[in-house]
Amino acid sequence: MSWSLGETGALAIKAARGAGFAWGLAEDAGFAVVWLQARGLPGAPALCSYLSWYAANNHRQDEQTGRCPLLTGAAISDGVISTPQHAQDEIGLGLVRTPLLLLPFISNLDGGMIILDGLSWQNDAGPTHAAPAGLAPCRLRRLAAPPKQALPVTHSRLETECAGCVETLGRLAHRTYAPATPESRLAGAGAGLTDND
Amino acid sequence: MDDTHKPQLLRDADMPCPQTALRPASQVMRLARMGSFHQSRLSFMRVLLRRLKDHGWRFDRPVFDIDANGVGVATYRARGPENTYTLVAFAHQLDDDKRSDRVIAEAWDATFTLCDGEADADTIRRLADNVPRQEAGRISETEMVLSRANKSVRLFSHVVDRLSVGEQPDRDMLESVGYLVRTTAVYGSGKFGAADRSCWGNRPEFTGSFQPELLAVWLIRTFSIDLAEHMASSRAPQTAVRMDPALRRCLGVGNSTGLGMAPFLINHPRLINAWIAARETALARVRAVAAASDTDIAMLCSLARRARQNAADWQVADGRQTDKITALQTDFDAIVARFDSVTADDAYPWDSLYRWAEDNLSPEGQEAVVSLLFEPYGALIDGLAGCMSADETTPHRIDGRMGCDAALAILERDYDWTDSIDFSGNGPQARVWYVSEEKLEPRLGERFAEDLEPYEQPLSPGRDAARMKQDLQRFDRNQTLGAFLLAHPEHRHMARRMQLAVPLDYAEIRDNTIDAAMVPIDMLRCKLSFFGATKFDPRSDRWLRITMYQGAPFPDELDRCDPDDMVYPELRDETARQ
Repeated sequence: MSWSLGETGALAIKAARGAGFAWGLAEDAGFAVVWLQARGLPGAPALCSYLSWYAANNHRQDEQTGRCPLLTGAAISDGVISTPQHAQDEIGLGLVRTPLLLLPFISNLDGGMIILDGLSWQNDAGPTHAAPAGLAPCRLRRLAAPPKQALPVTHSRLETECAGCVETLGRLAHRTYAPATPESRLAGAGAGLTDND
Repeated sequence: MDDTHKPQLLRDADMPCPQTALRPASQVMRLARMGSFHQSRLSFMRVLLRRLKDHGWRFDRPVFDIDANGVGVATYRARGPENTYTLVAFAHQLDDDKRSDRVIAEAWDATFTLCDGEADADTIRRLADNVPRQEAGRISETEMVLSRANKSVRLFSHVVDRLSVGEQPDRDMLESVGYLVRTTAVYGSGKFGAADRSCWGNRPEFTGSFQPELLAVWLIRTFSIDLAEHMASSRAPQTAVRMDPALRRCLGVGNSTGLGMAPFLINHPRLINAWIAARETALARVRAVAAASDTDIAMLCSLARRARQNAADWQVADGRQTDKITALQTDFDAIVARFDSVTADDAYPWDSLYRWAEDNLSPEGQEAVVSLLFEPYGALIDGLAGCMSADETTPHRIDGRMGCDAALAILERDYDWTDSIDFSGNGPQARVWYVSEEKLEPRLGERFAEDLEPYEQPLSPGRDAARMKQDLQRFDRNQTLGAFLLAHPEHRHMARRMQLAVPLDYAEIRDNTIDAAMVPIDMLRCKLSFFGATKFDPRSDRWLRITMYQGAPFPDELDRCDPDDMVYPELRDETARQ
């Protein structure tokens, strides 16, 4: 079984909303997941990991527990967190939770000149690269020269190994659905009881 | 998150084309007008059939393995210059008590998928495990559409009965029902595992919107006839006959559409802008025609009569729509007379006629005139069909560096229509758009009668703009929008929407979509008119039935028919009057 990126993005939006984010940030989450998955990076597991933590920890986001990658990403993208202006300059972001999710927000900033340091870090399982979970101190750094090539789009599907993650996101998405009542069942869509003719 | 979005007016222009000013969004993007749109040359079904015909597509039926009870599988193949597509149709036996058009149904008379390429035996086996289950199954990146349909039992039985004894079905009955089967959902673009639009959107045969879905529906129409003919001949092989081709064309495919489709117009501002801008540009081009030829005038005089007959035949139970149709029928007598008065000597005849329509006709009548005026001018406007899509995969990147004062100015300019709405009152926020847990479909609830607000979907741009405006007015104007959104993340959705819509005149419906008096079927009607649907038949304020492809050619006759001429019915003697 596999999932289209379109339905993955739609699921991510609903899951982020279900976990407690405002719709606008949820849309950013959907975008981030699709951007990562299209480049062969584990965006869906990353969002799954972050939202699970976020929902289980009463929506905490502070320096001790790590900054929220969606809020931080949006703040960078919006220019509220300024980007380094000179070659090799750095701006520290502090400890960010699931920093892989920051990557899409930084992509193409200033023509691709801004990169994110902090995607390699140590976790319980040992050193990883671009792991979907965990905390890392992150920095924005300005390149000395324009990058030769942006990360290419290589994938158009979410594959079977993401089934668990799709299920978790689906559970969070479910929180956005209103429980049915007999009244809403009949009135909500407006149809009658029978459609035979 | 690259935002390369540019205003979309309008890329097709192979040559500079004179045009009058476009109608303003404040006139066009009102629900009462959008709910009066009619099919036109730019409707997606017509675009599809023109293209299939012009590019010499060929069609056949590689598999027809259906038993005497009407259960089995059939495939319909469409082969074009570069690509092949195959509709796989599963026919089922369904008890009458299970037949429901509502999306909450779990069984249907027939289920379908459109495959990208051929469908071999292995593929059909895989699909047989999934397609009949619809939303509960999964399709893959080699499928493009998932759909299902129920029979019009009354008409289907009549047709099978008649054909089996060697007689043709009753024409009046065929015309009044209009279809043997009606689809209850046609899913595409990545839904339930199907290929994303980005995987096939650049294929020339699918330029525009909803082309794979409408190809599937057109092939489903053929399947519905084949199924009826097959059951007639299984019942009585000695006496059964096939349906007369002229009678067969009376049948399209029905469709029941509920609220699930309504939010589409709000959720796809770029796409809606592209559709409406194309249609308005087409009108502006025709209004700029300096003089009409006798041939064009004669064509319009004839089509106006045929459209009048269409309006005369349009009967529904819904009171509101009946009033609109009555006004349209009255309008059409005036429309026919007005077209008759046009001569080849008139300067800018269609601009003058359109202005007359605005002054004298109901919105239904005005929009019927708009659609009619397109008919002789394919050379001027058909290319606009290529502009009726939008890249929605690249989200709009919010320009957070914009000043709060500039953001406020945009809201005050582009959402000025919200100024007259008091959103603190109950009426203007009476409704809540939400998604039901039971079937995961959009629904409309009563805010003050049900506990639905926590589940509210962002489908009320008017109210959201008003709220954002209020909070911006209280915020430090010297700050950036980014700083405002950090303090007010609840406005992030509206901020993106507002910026995205700046260069897109027709992106936003300029009516309150949560008002107590809002009529959701106006949104459905607008979208379905772009599909090319006819015979809008509201069954309540929130769902309706329509007919697709009624009168259109079938695959086996496309090469010798003009699909554009077949949209309007042939005149009966009594309606050929002056």
